[in-house]
Amino acid sequence: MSSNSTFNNTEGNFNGSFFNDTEFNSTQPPQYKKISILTPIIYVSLLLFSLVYLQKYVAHKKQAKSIETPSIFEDNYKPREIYYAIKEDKFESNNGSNKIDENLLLSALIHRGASVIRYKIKLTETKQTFDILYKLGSMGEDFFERYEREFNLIELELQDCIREYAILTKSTNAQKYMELCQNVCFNEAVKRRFAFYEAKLQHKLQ
Amino acid sequence: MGNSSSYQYDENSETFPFFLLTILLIVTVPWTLKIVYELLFGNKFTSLNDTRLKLAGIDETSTEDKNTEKKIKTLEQLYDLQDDLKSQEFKKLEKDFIFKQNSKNFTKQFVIITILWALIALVYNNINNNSKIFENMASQFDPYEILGISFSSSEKEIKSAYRKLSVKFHPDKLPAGLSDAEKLSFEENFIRISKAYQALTDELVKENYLKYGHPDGPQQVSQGIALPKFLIDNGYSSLLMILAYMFVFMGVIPYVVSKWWSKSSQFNKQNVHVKSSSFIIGKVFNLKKGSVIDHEMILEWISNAEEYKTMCPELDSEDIYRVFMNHINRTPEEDSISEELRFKIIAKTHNLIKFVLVVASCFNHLELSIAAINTMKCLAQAINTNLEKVKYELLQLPCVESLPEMKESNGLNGIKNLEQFFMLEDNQKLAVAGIKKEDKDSFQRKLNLYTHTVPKLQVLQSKVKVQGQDYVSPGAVLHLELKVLMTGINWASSQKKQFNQLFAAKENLNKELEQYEAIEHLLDPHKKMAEQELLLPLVAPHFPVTKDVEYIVLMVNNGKVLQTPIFVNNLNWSDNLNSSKYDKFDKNKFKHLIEEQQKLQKPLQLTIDDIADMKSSYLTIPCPTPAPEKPGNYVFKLYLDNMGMFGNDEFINVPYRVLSEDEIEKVETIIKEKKKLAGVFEEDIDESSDSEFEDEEEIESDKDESGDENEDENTDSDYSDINTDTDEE
Repeated sequence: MSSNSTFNNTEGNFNGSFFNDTEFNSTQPPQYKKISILTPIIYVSLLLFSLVYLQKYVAHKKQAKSIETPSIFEDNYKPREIYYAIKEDKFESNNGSNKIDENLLLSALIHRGASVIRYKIKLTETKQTFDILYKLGSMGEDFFERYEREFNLIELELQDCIREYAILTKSTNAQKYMELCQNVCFNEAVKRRFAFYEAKLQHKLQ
Repeated sequence: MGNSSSYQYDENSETFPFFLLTILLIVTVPWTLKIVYELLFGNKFTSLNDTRLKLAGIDETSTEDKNTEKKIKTLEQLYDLQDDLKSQEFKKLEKDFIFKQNSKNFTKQFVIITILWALIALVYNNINNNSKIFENMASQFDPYEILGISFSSSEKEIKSAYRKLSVKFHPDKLPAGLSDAEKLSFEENFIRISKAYQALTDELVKENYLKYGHPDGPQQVSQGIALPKFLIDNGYSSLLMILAYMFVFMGVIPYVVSKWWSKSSQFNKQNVHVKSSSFIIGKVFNLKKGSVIDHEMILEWISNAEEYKTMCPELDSEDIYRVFMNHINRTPEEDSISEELRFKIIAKTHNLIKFVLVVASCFNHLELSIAAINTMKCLAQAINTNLEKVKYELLQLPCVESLPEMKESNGLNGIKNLEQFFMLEDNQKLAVAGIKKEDKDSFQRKLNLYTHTVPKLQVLQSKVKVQGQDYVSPGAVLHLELKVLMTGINWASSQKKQFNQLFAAKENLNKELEQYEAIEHLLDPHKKMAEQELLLPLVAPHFPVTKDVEYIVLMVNNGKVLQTPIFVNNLNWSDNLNSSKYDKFDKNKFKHLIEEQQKLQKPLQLTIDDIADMKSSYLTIPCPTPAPEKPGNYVFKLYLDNMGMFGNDEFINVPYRVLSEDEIEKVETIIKEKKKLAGVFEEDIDESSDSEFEDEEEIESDKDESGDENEDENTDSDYSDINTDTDEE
């Protein structure tokens, strides 16, 4: 009498199928099948290949996306564009000659450097704010990544500026260039502030 | 599957139906209960009024709250006024909106639930009709059933049952004339009975039975798949099965999860679309110093919000901006934009502007924060402060659609804000608001309702506090406590100091402060604020939906915001708006009262009677930084405003003194002495109960004096009303 709790022991019924009954009354020795040594190798290499491909694909997509997304600064590195536009002689010089005015190029480079410093100051100033906003859950993941990316971009931009300066002036004194840019940046800030108070005063006088 | 040849299939559907039944019941029963509960106690839409009251936080069924009646009265007046002033289209749309929000459509759920119950019935029927299951169950070994006794039977009962049965089935005592088959069945029965008896009495057999469910020890165990064989072992359907599994595990589940994830990551914690939030943060980040910051700029920002792109894809940001401007200019909309769309667009602004405020305060930008608050006011009251630059506050009054040109001669040209407006005589009010004579009665009725439903916050006292300490020590964790009074908008505001004294006296008399000495209040100083009444909605007939009132507190230092704004909407109002002396404090009448007193050359004296049925409230604000380490005098600056109504903004200075160690010692000794004194007195009280009352009062007044002294020394507070709007101009 069978009394197992869930199934009737009706094994015999299945013996006719292609299943081998090995559990209870089987007397046949287990059968082994020979497989080629290549099988696991092919399997593993296929797996690895697909994983590597996937990783490359994702990285490529990410890079393409990050190139597409604009900088969080509204002017989106315009001084850089101006500098390269001048360098590639897209602006016609005043006297009609094709030779690029070196002073013009240098001033564009300094302007570029000053803007980089301004960006940098602004980024470090707002670091805490962005952290708070991120912790508050106000900011999407995307935007925070864009913000973090900006730090790297600024570094690259700065290095590029120094490199260009070295080429342009044939001097390796990057310190001087940095000081110059910093001064320009601060002067611009003072000028802006002055203009702001001037405007405010005018507004009040009206 | 080929190797696991020993698996058995559920060919007779013995297990699978149970499996199915369990899953069905797990889903259906809680769901059904939930629906039944919601039908019985859920939010049913009975009438607009009831739903509105519920939304305003009033539970009509509770009788504990004595103020409920007053609250309902005021709220009904408010809705009455608002409905009177609201445009027909918005009124209808709001009603539909409230109806949709508060009534649930059960039809769909009912259909699904019915199908599920039908399925359960089907499966149950299937189980009932499946003889195999019962056969299987019958073959189970249950000694109690075999012996025909209950589970709780004693040993004696077991024995007697066994004896009776064994007499009946014993092979030696079989009745004569039985066939072989019958004999065999009798013998089998006897063996079963013996086994059952042993299983209940013999130690070894009993252990076997308890362990393996059978007196003979372990039985054969087989594993199986709880599905019929044809589903798996047949080429075609097994493929189908695999596809179904693949579909569920690789298709449906990832789809549902990703959908959920993208939906939840689309909106940030403040319920603003991530794209909108990025746009706004980017704008604030790039805001140049010196650019004009006003409500028009913020409206332009939020017109680019992603929310509007999904809500009305046919409109671009310029169209949305035009909707905003037409709304605040009170000019009629072009035909291309439907009223419904307008309703939705403007109702959505609240969230976005609040977000702008949070971002602005995170960037410490005071000007932008105030501009964001003003933007909300402009939208709520439909006022463009750039268009009506001086007297815009008056446009908030009921029935005032536009302001009349004032002649220089009548002396009313200088009336700019609500404070001044309520000082006027009735006929002057009519002239300033530009109301025609025939509309006089209706205007006065509405104005009366307005004054009884629009509260105004008045700060009585402000203090810097350290929890559990009467003084500020260096490095202590601070919070600010404002004692405020929600009065009618037409209340006299010149008597704050007297009010403050009266309330202090009244609280001492009634011992009202004792309730805040409980342990939970000592642990959390902000609890008493949360316990106060929920504020009543804003009277803003131009705003599409009923808007909640929110007070905003910004901590300000050096023109910068120190921390994220604090939103307050718990303040006591119902007693004050329904106070019996309400009319006495009307600005106009109070002015006359003061004038009369001046003629008699007597200073005006208010009595506790005047405020007997009024209630002050507390507003507590956590401070962003602990007290400075260096002893000295410091000051906190607050900006307090109502997010929805002009004329409530004020800057408050809260000075405080951080004590040096010597000073702390002095204060401590004074407190100790007082306590000692109090202790002595208490002992006396125990002895002589006659003088109990007088003594206690003496102690209390002593304590109060000392407390007052401390306040004067340390936290002497004064506040200044500076209307920033006018200040800027």
